[in-house]
Amino acid sequence: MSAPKVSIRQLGICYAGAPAVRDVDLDIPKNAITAVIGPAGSGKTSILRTINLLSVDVDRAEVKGQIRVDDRDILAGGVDRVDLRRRVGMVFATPQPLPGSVYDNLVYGPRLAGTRRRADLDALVESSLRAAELWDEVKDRLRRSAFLLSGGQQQRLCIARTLALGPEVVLLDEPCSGLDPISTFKIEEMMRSLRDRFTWVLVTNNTKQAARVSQRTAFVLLGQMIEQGPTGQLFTAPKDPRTGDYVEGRFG
Amino acid sequence: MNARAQRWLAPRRAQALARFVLWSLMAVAIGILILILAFVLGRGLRHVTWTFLTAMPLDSGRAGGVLPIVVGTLEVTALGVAAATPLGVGTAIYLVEYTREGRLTRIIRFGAECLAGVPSIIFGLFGFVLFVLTLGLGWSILAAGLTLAFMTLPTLIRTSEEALRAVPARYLDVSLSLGATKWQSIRKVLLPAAFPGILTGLILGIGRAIGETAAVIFTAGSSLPHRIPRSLSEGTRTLSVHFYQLAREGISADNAYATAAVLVLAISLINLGAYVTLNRFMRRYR
Amino acid sequence: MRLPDKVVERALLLLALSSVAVLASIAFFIVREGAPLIYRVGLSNFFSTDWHPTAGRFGILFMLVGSLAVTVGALALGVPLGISCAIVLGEMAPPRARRILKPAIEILAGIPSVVYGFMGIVVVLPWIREHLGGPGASGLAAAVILGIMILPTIIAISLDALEAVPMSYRDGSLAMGATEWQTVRRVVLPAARSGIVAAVILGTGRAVGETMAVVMVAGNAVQLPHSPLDPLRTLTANLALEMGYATGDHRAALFATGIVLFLIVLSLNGAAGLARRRRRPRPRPRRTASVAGVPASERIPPSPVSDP
Ligand SMILES: Nc1ncnc2c1ncn2[C@@H]1O[C@H](COP(=O)(O)OP(=O)(O)OP(=O)(O)O)[C@@H](O)[C@H]1O
Ligand SMILES: [Mg+2]
Repeated sequence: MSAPKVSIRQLGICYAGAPAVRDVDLDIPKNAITAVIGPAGSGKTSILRTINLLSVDVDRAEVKGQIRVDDRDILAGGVDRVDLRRRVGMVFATPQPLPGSVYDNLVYGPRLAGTRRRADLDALVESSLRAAELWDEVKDRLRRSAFLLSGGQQQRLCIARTLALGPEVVLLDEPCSGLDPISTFKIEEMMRSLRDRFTWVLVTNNTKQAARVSQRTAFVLLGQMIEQGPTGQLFTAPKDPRTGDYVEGRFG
Repeated sequence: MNARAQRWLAPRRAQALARFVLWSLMAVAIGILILILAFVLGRGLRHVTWTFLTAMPLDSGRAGGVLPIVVGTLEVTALGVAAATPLGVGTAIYLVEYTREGRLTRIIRFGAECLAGVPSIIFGLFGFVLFVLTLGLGWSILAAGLTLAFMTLPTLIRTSEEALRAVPARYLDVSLSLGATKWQSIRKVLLPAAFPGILTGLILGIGRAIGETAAVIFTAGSSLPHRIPRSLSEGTRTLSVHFYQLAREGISADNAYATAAVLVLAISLINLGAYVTLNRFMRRYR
Repeated sequence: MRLPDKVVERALLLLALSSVAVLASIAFFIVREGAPLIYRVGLSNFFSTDWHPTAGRFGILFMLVGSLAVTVGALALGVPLGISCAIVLGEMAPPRARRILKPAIEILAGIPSVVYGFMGIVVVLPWIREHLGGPGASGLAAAVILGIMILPTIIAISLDALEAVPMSYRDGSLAMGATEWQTVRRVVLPAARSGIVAAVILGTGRAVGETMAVVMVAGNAVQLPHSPLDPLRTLTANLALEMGYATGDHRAALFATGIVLFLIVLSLNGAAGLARRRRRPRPRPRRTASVAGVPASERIPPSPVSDP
């Protein structure tokens, strides 16, 4: 494996003194999909939200350890949040459009980043919607409220919105929870087709989804990293018995 | 409790009795409201004519209209609300977005609550010493407007805070994750989303300012203006003060009723407007 | 443009301190104007019954008694009425009725004090003169008008308190066969007690501080009222009546009265704050929201039906 895009060492996360994640190591390779699986409350979201420092800035989490993105440790302090979050985009567990039109949602980030020209924004909107396989469905209602889209469409809009930032890493927190199988399928297809353009981190509590789309999988339990490795190996020949129990659904 | 009393107060009976008594008391309260509205509007509205609203007052208010008084009232109110808005909304943003509950927020909230409880006559004394005398503004629209700004501040803080808290927290997550700073997120996403709620506070503040008398009488003065105020440093008499003078000195019953009708109608509509706006807004995020 | 967040935070902190600053400067200016006089003439003069400011006698006792009397009267009327309305609104009225009654109360809250005073002049005073005798303008008239004026405050804050009682308390009680009234009396009201106490205290504050309406109906004679039908003068009325022309020591004495008023209202607010201190502002539903802050005493419902 070449040098990982993101490498996490000894990561600890506490909320108001209560530890939620302890000593987690995780390597996330470039241009591949890394799945993070584990039961509810095991700390998946916490880890994800720490990779773009949302946990620190919004949830007031205390963190220790290292998270190197391209060899720069973002936990070391003095990181430009805005720059980091443009490079490390995030999609949330339920569709989260902002109030406003489909178009407004898509250009929110780029406008803040300084793209002003109408033509540039239009082009960006089209290319990111195409990438998220949503262009054909919404090209006629770009000016309508984003809340009028279906749940699945909203979630793909949120993915397109993240892609419009031109990120290097895309963090997805259970992006398909609450979506129907067709929407789920579309999102998985999209991830597959864009796999080589980004570094993907997919948190999911659907082990089958992890098996379907990811190249690497990491299993966390009660805030600790139990096992990580190539997806095929982790599912067929887990080193830790707890991993086997979990992926086969023999777990509380 | 003896057996007889117990039977008489059997739960079903007590229930019926309680319902009857409580609903009757509610009816009394509503009856009072209707009485006031019927009295004031019934006797006043018919004297509210276009000329009344657009004419100068004559003969210390016995005849003529209220035009300069209406203009003065609007100026005092607008100034008050305009000055209070940045303070109130800023306070709310700080409380909701920038700080955790702790000693500091307790102090700020307690300050706002106490301010809300300070009687308007005290604001009048304060505005008189600070603005009229110490800062040398004299009895003026400016002095009254600034005094009213301080009076409406607590309302604005409370409604803005509630409005901001009602905005889903995930909007901040989303906006930050798209490369906005916190302040950009507040300006571009949170404040627009909270706007209807904040507007409610503004409207309530306007209503309170229009109806205020004690604080205005010592800061804007009470002499009857004979022309439309030309600058903020002129004194004025607001509608409430005018009404007070007419009613207390028995100057003109017709004009008193008409002035009261204008006041009550304006404030009731304003408060209803605030109520409706707020309800719409809160429902959106349920 | 990207403003550094630290700068924004500092600026907002300054704005947030504005209400505390206003409160402090109110205190500062009133004390500066009034306290020297109290110091000079002494507390025994200041709290005597002799108010002849032009003759150097600044006793506010009768006015203090007047304020106290009308406030007590207003509470006697406004508290039962207000709490009953809150119970009807919060516990009994069907949603359709609530949609009409609540805005009606808002309108009551918005009616200016001068209009209340005027209603006193044209309705209450003649009625008292006719049916009870006396001059009409009296402590009783003031108490009636004030009792109505504090209704919206009492209703709004009690209603908040009632609405803060979790639905499950009521369900539990009703499920055990209690009637609606038993549920209200034994479960909901006790659970909302601190909020209702706060409502009454804040209503008291409003009654003490109300000025214009009282001036218009209380008669304003500086004397010890011997019956509810006697005219009396409150602290606030005294300020409103004499501020316009007072100068020198007289004006200082009025500011000194303001200090007394300010202290009364401030301590009432403090008391209301204490009564409500367990009710924190509802935390915003975000990831950081923790339930841990709620004291256990508030989470466990009182035993629903504890009939002796
Ligand atoms: N903002 C927060 N404040 C306090 N504790 C938190 C916060 N966020 C998460 N936690 C705690 O941290 C632990 C891990 O939560 P996290 O949300 O990371 O789990 P998760 O694996 O994403 O779970 P799920 O599959 O249910 O989404 C939990 O015990 C949770 O209660
Ligand atoms: Mg999660």
